[in-house]
Amino acid sequence: MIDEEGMTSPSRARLSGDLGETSHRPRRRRRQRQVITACLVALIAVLVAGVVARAGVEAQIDARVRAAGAGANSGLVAIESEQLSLLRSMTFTTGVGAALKAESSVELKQLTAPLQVNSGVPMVDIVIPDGQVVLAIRSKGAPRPVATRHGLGALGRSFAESHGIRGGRFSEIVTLQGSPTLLTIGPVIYGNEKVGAILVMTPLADVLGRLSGEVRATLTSYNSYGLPIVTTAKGEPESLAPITATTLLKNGRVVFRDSIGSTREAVGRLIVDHRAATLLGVSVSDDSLLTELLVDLIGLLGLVVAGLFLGVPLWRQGEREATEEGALADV
Amino acid sequence: MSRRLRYGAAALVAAAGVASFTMAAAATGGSLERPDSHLSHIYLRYKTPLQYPNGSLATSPPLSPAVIPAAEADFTYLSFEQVSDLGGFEPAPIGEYLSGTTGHAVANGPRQAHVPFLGGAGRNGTKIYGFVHGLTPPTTVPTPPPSTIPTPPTTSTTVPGAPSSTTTTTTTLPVRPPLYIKMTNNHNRHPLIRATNMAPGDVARETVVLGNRGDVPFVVRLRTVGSSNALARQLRLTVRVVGGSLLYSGRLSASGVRIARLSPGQSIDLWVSLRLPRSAGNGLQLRRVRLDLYWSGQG
Repeated sequence: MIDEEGMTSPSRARLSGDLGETSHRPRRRRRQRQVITACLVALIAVLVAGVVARAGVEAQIDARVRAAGAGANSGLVAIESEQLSLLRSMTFTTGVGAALKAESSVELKQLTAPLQVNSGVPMVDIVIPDGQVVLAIRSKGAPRPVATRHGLGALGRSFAESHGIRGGRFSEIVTLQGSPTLLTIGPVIYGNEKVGAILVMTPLADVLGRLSGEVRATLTSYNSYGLPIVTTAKGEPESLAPITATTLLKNGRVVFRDSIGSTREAVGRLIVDHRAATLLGVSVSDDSLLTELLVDLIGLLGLVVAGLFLGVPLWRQGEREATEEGALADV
Repeated sequence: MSRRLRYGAAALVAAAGVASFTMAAAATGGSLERPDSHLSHIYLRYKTPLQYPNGSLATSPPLSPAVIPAAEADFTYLSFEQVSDLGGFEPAPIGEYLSGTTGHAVANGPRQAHVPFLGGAGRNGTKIYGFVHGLTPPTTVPTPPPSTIPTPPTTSTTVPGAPSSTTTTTTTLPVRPPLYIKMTNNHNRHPLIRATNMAPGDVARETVVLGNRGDVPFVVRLRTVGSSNALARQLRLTVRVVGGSLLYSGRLSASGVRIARLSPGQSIDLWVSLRLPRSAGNGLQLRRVRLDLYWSGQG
């Protein structure tokens, strides 16, 4: 049959078929390129979202450890205040001076033991000027007492500053029996005579344990050589470089580092009596990588689902169009 | 149908994107997992009163009235005196502090607590109320340069027995364009050191924080004016930067001692101590010394 255009149907059909296949192939390739490009862009967007998410989490972790470090130092002021409160209540209780001058441990116990029990401070030593311990009061689990505190530098300083505005009371971290201890000390004056001193103590480990619970972070104390001396961490903390420790103690800027066990740590100073006593490391678990992976995973899942929802109808439509064109060609 | 599917898929993609960014912004905080010592009392509680070993009830004798000024001095000292008093993690609010008695922390408020969970536990809606233990900064008449601030804050030191008093003189200069020089002193108008019944070898020491809250830098110098008796000739005055260098060590009469150059906003923490040498003899008994410390700023 010859159609209006003077071409035979089979020829036309063949030509049409040729034309249909020829026009369909470039369109299909164009669509494939578009799909691939869209997938690449979406993949890059998901990866970038993951990176941004991780950076955001890291910034929040850094802010959190900073706040925890400040909170730990602030909480230490509270502990100093409690120890000072107990020290004052013992020092200024009527009868303590006379009992200490008489070196009467029985009378001292009667006067001071109820105060210690009610305070929550685990260790109290009452000594005479040469450092001999007249009475030692301990809470359950506290380090055992010793017979003398002779040679303790804080004793001499407390007596020397007894006429100052604070009456020789101050706090510092000392090493007693090999264990770092938060010590608050004050002299006992009876008449015009220095008859002894009262030492109120909490092991630094217990101090950090309490502060760790308050700020919800792991705390580690480092000495001036960068070695950890007390920690609330389960594992062994990493040491600091000695030069880093020295710089930090001299009012250096807080140092951030990633520690073992996927933790983020900020190292600053532990302040006692307005002075840097040791270095303080504050660490929390660092889940920024996990967050990045989760963001990437959820993004990819969303892309896959969206791809299925979009791709299947598009593919079907493409198939339909190809079929229709083929049918037209046959006609 | 295909159009609905496309719209639905587009909405799903948008939701997935929003969810991923929402997770990215989510904080890593958690809920309060265990009781906190600030909220629950840490003291021991007894069903029955405490008893001594002999069976009698435990009692507490009264405290000496001297405990009141002692407590005041301790509370004042516990205030943050230096910006670095929070260990360098955050700037410390000078003049305030988080205090704790009987296990309960009382924070200054209403403001964000330095202990972070207190804010987070109440979903950042927790109001912190408490006592404000702030030091009132002294006010200074705005005085323009060029050379010397005529009115430095004055601190006085009283040694054995003398009642403390401070003196301040004020001079007004002609008005010039408003450039303010303002030096602050955390002991302004209060005795810096009060030492009584000093014995040979005793040391009385306190910190003083000088700050520049003005617009121009200046150099801080120290001048002392005081008694000139035998005791004053024996006493030794030392001024040292906290954790730093020695600035002055010698007799009580000091003049023009250069302390530091302070830029606007800068402060310096100083140890000021008085020492009675061990060699001091009994001839110095019952003597009194008064010493005024003048901190001046020169631009």
